[in-house]
Amino acid sequence: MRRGFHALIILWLVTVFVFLMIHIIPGDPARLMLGDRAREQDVEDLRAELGLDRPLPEQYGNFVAGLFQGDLGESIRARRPVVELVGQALPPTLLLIGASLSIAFLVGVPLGVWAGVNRGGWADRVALGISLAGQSIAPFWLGLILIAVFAARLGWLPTSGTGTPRHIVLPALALAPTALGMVLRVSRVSVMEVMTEDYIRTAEAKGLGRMTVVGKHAFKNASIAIITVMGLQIGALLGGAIVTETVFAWPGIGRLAVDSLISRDWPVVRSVVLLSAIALVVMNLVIDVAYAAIDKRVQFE
Amino acid sequence: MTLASSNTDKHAELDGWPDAAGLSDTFRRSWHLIQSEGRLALGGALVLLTIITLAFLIPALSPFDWNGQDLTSRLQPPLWIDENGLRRWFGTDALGRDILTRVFVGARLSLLVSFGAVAGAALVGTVLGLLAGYLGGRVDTVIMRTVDLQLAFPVMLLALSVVALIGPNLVNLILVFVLTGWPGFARTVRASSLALREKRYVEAARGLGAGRARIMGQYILPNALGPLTVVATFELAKVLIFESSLSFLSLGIQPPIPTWGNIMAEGRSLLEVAWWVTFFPGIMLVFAAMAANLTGDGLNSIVDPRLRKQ
Repeated sequence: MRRGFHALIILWLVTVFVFLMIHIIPGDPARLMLGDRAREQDVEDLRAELGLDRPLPEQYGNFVAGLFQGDLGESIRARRPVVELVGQALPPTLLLIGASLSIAFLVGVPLGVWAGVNRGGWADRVALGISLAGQSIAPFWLGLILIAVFAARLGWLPTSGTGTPRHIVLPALALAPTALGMVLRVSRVSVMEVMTEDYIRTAEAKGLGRMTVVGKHAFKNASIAIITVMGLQIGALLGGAIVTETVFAWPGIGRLAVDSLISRDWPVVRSVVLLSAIALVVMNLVIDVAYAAIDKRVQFE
Repeated sequence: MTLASSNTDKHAELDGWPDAAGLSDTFRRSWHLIQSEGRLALGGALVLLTIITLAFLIPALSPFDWNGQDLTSRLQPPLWIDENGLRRWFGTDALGRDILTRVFVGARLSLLVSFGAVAGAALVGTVLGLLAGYLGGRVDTVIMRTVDLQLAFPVMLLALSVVALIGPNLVNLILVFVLTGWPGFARTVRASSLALREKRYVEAARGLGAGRARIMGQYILPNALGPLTVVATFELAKVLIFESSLSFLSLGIQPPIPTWGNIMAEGRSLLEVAWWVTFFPGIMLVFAAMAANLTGDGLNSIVDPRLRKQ
């Protein structure tokens, strides 16, 4: 209950912040969108069209009323409803993030568990090295290098665009390491912590094999922490996706955001910022609730 | 909960001042720690320091001007695969400019923005975190709500939109990363102050009539510095990558002034003919970010006893 209320307040603050963003900046919003060289008449027209000539509270009211009706305004550049543009860009982004998270999960969790069980050994060092590298590589640079090697030099995979399953391989590989590093770290630490628990000693004392102990007892308990972090990673992945999508001409939210930013298509930029914030808040709320449902020891004040 | 913010409850064990024997023991243990766990941190810091030194040495020693175009030596490959023997270590770009020189002039700007932003974020975050943690009540609610609001936005997207609105220049870039970076510091310092404000030595200081500012600055802040430094090094790695991403998207420092990001942006269209234009600035970025993360890891294992090896 308390959590939900808190999330609602944050959501409200998010709408206020996003609404005010363009007004806090010195200068006339309509002028900012059209640039310095635009004719005064065009600026006037845009101002009237976006309702920027009305009092602020009224503008905010219209903005929120629009939100509840699923109306995010119209793109200045494409002359189409923002909802349509975002709706088109969302599936590719979800696909890309999903693919990257799967790679991060499939590689990161086993490596992390392996490192956590062999704490301090060479396996641990190798895993930590991988995680360190993963968190230090800029996804867009990795993407460019992958293009240079696997697309330009070897010609195995397409350089950019979308269409076939082969198109997603390079962008997903470029975006995965950041999340992978984090997933690896968290699974390592949580397995390490779990391995010192009494019930693990009990399980070992019962004569259960190492694989059973790790797989059944340690991993099960470590998975909660891993899931929590996966949720937190969505924000970082979305950030990485912005540049990665631009590099691979991937028609997702990130590229939509960058294109709109560069052409100062404020209604689209504002909507992307707003929607991703709402997505993050809701996601974290869901994770918190799920966390409490899985682990009864977690109590909210 | 982040790793760093959980450090503080371990600090709580040091209640009151240790006596002389305890102190020398503490000292011996600290020294041992720095020797065993500090190697990582030291290694990372050395790499960063090397990059900073090279950022000043190489452009000064280089026979090539960072913006000196030379159309006769366009797109020269790096030294070891160069058949014409023009001796360009990292090769040249489409205008014949020396990549090695440009990468290290670019390092100056990338590092300046990142260090500036981390310092600013640490300052803002520390002050707000101290206030929130020590004063509590309404101040705490307002500050922490602002933190939550800030964390609701993906950092990259927020930074991009704000820079696009206020214009990409050095000061604005630093400001934007202060804006996106301060919540991490505020959270960490708040957690430390919450744990520390009930300590007996703080109560004693309060009993002796020390004011709030004095208690926060002199008694709480020094004990919160450990976790704070750890957050700062991790933040440095993040800002380095964010700054390059913005530059790459042409929303950072503008050409012809080189940054790692905008050199890579220039190299993007040359990928098939001149991979080195993209490769070298990117690998420097990896080194710098890795060095910062390594320093953070090392410091973290010194600060957080649970991460120490047995």
